Amino acid sequence: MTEFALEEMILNMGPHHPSTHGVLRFIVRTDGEMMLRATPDVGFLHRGIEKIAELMPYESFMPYTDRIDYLSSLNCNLGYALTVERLAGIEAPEKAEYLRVIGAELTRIGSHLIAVGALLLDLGAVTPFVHALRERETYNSLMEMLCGARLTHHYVRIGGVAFDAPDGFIEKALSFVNHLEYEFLDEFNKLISFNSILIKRLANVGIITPEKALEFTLVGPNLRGSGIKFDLRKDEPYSIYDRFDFEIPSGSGKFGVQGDAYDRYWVRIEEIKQSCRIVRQAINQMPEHGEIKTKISKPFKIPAGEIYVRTECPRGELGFYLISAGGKTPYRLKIRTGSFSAMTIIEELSEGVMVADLVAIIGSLDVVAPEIDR
Amino acid sequence: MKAAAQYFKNIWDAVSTTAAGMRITMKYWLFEPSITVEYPDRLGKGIKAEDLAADRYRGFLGLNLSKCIGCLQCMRVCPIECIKITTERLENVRFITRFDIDQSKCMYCGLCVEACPASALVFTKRFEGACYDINELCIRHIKEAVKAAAPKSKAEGQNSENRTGRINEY
Ligand code: SF4
Ligand code: SF4
Repeated sequence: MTEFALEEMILNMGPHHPSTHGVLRFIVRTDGEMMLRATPDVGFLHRGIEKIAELMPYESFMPYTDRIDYLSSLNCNLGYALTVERLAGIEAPEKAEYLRVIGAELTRIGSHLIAVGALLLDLGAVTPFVHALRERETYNSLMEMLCGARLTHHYVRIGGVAFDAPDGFIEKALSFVNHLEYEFLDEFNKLISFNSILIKRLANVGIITPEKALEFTLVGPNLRGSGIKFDLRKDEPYSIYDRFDFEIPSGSGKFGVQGDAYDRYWVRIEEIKQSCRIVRQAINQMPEHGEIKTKISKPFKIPAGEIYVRTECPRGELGFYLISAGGKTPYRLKIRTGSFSAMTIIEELSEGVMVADLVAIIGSLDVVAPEIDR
Repeated sequence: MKAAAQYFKNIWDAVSTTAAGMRITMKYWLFEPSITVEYPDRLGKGIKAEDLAADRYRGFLGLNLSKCIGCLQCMRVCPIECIKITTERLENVRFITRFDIDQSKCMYCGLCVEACPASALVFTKRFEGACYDINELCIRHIKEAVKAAAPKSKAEGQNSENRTGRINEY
């Protein structure tokens, strides 16, 4: 009789695989259904955005920030605009700040809808994904009304925003967030979040303890899923976030252990609610009339200096480190994104789990491939 | 005994929570109207896909040649250099001899539209650009040399027959 020794098989998962989000490759070492280790291989979507920034004027780089993370383009716009504004000493008008916050929070809602929808799709639940996309469609139409593009918004400009809110936008946005908070999320939770099969698949899977989360410098919902209440909107308020009243949801081991995949999923669902609250408050406080853009000098130059500004993106901290040498273009622009640190922990989490759980882990970390590679 | 009870409770949980979800699915399937439209065939009579886009929709770029002053601002600001303009001066009159916009490269960011001082460059709602040859998407707005419009107020009363005043879209 032959003995069955531990037989290792090396598999290639991706770069084009339906359950890796975007062009992403894993080298998977398995023994049957057990995973020994999954090593991510990044870089397929490297576009050299940081280098491109050095070649063009500050204003012209704005559309490229859309492409850092195409699911949260407005938040990336905002991060870059704030960086340049702080170094140049410009302030955006009050109304522009409100429009930015409304746009950014709507984008956060849209991004989280895709994140939870795609996670469920990876696990094999197709219907909730369609429900999430239906709501996202409303968000897309809203943004199309506001700025003319459905995905890469390019709405924020240095010193303000591009357009004022069109007629009917405010009412539509308000009814959208009300529908989302009071109707959709309850229904969605009934549809899938409290489904015991989903709980079985997500709870106690891919546990990240708070210590480990800090060790791997996780940010955003992944960090909060481990129970650490850190949100830059609250802890280091930028723009006008200090004027709003909202909570920071964090993982508490709802159905399993603190920091498991279900906690990360649940944090995103809760964050949609909080974003709805912020949008509602911003709409109520927004001045009716007012400037939407501060005039900037032409050609736009920034005095020599350097700055690091971080903002809270749907995928966590997005930081821009900008060095100016006084010219028309940046001397150096370094971008720090949340998906990259989420990527580094996958290798650690993948040891000794089932192959099907790997998909749940990747999905619950909500990595977006272009954000990893820039 | 306890394990058996847990076993049956698990089954009951899975069945009951799935049934709760299925009820919602059934509600949408049976009682709610469909929210999707079939593109492009069944949008409804006389409705073009372009009509469904919002007013600010950023589609193909359209050029109003009668307004263009040939200042090259749009060409300079474009981050990916998909606008090509050449101008020539003949006896103190400026002619635009070439105005190409490569719509296959364009990322519809809107920087050129904002930069245009004469509001000659605008977004149209056209977005269906499928064609067999990618070069067809490089749209040449000028067939023969056109006199550039005079900047600002001087533009009135100088219309030449080449300037039709309509937006040159395709
Ligand atoms: S929309 Fe942007 S990419 Fe397209 S031609 Fe204008 S500036 Fe260039
Ligand atoms: S389209 Fe506008 S920006 Fe471009 S050359 Fe003509 S007037 Fe200048």
